[in-house]
Amino acid sequence: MKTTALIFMLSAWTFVLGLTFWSFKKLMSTPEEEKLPPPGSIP
Amino acid sequence: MTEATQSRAQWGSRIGLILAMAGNAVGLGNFLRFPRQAVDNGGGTFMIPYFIALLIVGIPLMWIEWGVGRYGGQHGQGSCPGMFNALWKHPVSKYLGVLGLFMPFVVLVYYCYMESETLAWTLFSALGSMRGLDQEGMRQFLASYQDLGNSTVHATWVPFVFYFGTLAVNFWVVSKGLSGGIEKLAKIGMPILFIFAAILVVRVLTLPGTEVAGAAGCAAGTLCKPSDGLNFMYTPDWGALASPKVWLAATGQIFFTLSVGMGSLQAYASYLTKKDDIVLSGIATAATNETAEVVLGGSLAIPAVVTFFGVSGAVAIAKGGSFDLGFIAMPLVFNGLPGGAIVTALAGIMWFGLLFFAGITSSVSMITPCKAFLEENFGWSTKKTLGILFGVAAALGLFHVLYNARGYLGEWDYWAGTFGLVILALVETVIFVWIFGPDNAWRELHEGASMRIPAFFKPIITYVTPLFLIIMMIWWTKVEAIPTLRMVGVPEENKPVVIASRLVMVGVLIVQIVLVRMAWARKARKGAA
Repeated sequence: MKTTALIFMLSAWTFVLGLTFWSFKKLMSTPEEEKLPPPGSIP
Repeated sequence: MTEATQSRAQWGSRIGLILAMAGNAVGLGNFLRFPRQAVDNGGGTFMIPYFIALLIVGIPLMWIEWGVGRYGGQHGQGSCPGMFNALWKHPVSKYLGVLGLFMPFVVLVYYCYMESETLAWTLFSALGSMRGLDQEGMRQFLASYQDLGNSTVHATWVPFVFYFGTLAVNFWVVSKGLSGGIEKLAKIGMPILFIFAAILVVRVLTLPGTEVAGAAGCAAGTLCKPSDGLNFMYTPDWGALASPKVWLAATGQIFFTLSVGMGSLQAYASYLTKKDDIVLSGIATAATNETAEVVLGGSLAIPAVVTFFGVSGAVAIAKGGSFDLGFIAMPLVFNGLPGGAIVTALAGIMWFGLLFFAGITSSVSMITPCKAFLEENFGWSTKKTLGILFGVAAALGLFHVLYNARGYLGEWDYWAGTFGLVILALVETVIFVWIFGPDNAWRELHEGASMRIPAFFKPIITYVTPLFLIIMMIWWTKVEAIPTLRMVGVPEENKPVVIASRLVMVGVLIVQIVLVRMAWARKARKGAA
């Protein structure tokens, strides 16, 4: 594989994978609000 | 929190919400449309505007749709007519919102047809029905399914069974509720999709080189390897970046892949509360979708097809359309895998199975806006609402099964699934950012957020995103919409079918406009009583 193509591919993969892991990690680190089933709603 | 919100359903968990939203976004387009668009627009050349469009159109629209949806939900509105009316108290706003009912319902009807094909091909792969077929045989196998007048391979009833079965499964999932149906499907379907895709990526990228006859365009001449496909995908031709076609194709792909401009993201977001973080959730949804598309979708069809057909062969196949790539070329690749019938069957089951899960996690979201609209505005029960919607969808879908090969589906896909998305996205951006106000929109997005959106996104959302949408709409009108409307290139014998398909779409739109009018008249009567 050409070096320029490999660098471009790895940059693209790092960007999307990095964004995914960072956002999920940050989301999971904030405590989730406890939700009670709303009155009258179908669970 | 308003009374309306208290009586609405809620997502069961944050991870379930993100998976459902990502499931909505990750669809057939990630694995079929993306590689086709990339190949058709120069591979690496396409990827640069693709990432720029993600940042200045995709992610901002994702935030806008989550914002519009949650704001509407806070006012007891789970569909665009009510959401737009909550943001803009003008009589016309609710009619503009009809687009958010029209698009998802129309797309649902034909999307389920494509989804049913992925289900059928999963079964055909398991049964070994395509084993030993050459390219012409594979083409006949597909044509016989899609063209009932030419059913030499499949029995005529087969496409009907798969279509109505797929549609029924979709409605059954939605009938189980938000957390018991949609969320549960996402929690099961998304991991399966990612596992199947990851296994196939490893298999494709470790394929040995293949000797391809003719001008293959690979690094070693006619000996083609998966790395030649990746080279093609990630080697930009800087000169070609000056072509507006490449930029518009890349922006268009961002649209389809994130499912923005459809009305379904807003419907899902309407079940959020003020405490939910839509900034981070929007990024997580977009990023998960991009992982599925760039890392997995980009490493499957193109490297596989390039290995067996060469770069020039892959370009020729992609020009035939996404179905040629996914339903003709990929089964041929699986037939050529070392390991015999079992490996071929397993690869086919995983490929079409992942397409099915990608499809169903998207199509269930398309039922939600119309369901919410009818339940909230007419007081119908879920059973009655879904029963009526299923009946209408099945009746309309019948024409797709009968006339797909004569351009019926293509017409719906263009007007609702392509052109319509840009119109709805532009309308909602103008209403949310310009009419509701940039400061109000910015404040709404940050309610409950654990992080702030970088400040440079404010002028992007306010000016750049709408400008991009306007340019796209003008360009598409000139280059595609007018020729499509004039039926340029449509065979004479198919023109009556195309016209009929348009009339049916117009009929659906008129019925929805009338329903919105009736809903507001009902509200006015209730208010006066």
